[in-house]
Amino acid sequence: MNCKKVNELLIRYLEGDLKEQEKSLVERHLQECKKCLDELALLKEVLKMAKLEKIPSLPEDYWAGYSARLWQKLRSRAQHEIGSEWVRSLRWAVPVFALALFLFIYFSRTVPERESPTPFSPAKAPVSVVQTTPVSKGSIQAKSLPPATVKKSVSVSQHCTLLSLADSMDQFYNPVLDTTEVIDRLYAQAVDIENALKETEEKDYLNLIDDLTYKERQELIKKIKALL
Amino acid sequence: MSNLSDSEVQELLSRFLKGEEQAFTELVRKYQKKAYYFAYRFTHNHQDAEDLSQEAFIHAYRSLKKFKSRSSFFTWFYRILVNLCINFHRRRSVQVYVPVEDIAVSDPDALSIVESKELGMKIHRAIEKLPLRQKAVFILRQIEELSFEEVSESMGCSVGAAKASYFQAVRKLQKYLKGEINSKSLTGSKK
Repeated sequence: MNCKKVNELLIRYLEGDLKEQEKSLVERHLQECKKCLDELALLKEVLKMAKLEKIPSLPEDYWAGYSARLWQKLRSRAQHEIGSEWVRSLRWAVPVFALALFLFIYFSRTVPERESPTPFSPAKAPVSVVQTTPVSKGSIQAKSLPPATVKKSVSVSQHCTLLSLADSMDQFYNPVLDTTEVIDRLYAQAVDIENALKETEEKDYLNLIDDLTYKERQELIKKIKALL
Repeated sequence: MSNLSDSEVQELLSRFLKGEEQAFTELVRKYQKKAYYFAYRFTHNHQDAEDLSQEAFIHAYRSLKKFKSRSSFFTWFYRILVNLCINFHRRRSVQVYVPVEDIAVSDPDALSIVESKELGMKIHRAIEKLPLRQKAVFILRQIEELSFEEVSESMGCSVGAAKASYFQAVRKLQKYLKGEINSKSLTGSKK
């Protein structure tokens, strides 16, 4: 057996992991080879020194409190996990709620208005002095594409593309526009009522009557008669 | 590894599984030092050693219901700890510095102390260079003095694989240290 082979077997020799035949061969080689014997001494020293790493000696207080600190960690983890469960459920709940809200607003604002006039319609208002101008659904298109600019700088195909883009934007903004329309109308009616009240307080309602159309004046007369 | 006999550990485990948390505290008290020292040998840092050893207990607490008693509790627990330590090293790719003061020597002779410390430092730096699994096997076998069967259970491998890892680790140490340790320092440390 040569030195290289013996060197490879030294650790197994120390661990008692060699078969009888291998063991006797190694022992015979070690009796004859000083170099390999030194290798064995070095290996033993290395293994002995590896055990001698100084571990900081910790006070008994540290060990006494070890399990308490562990329980504290376990409990705080458990609490944190309960919190995480909530956050996890909210992560789904928030978008679902937002979607539901959006759909609710969309259907409640668009569908009834197309089918029947809102209760705040100027036509039905008791006193309608100023006719409001509802926001046009094409206003975004109009804003984003001023005709003059389109004629000067945009080709026909580009114009078409932009128009279709504006249309799709318009569709997207439909519910928003409808809502804005209602708000505008309500605001205008509130202003009308406020003005009417002011004029009534100032006993200047004759001016108010002057502003009414013939039809409105007839309706007002009917209502006054009914009240009397 | 522990003063607790297998039957005592089994009793603590069955008490814990019946809902008695005090039984787990008793298990922790029995194994806390071993867990801490193993983690310390891996990390050479007090805080990391405490965190890793406690994390291993937390893992054990949560998965004790899955423990089948096919292996002993401590090798099962060591397996958790070894994996945590290896993952910790992989995440951080820590280069551990072993201070000279951390090498214990019993020889009172001043020159011998210095030489032993120097040799010890070289050995521990060489251990740090080992691949993580080989390092774990080396610590379990050589420092914790576990049998190869216990090392294999702790590492989740066969006895043959555990032996092969250990022998490879030792051969690598020999190789690393060949140029570092001359006969003089070896003689000095032997005085």
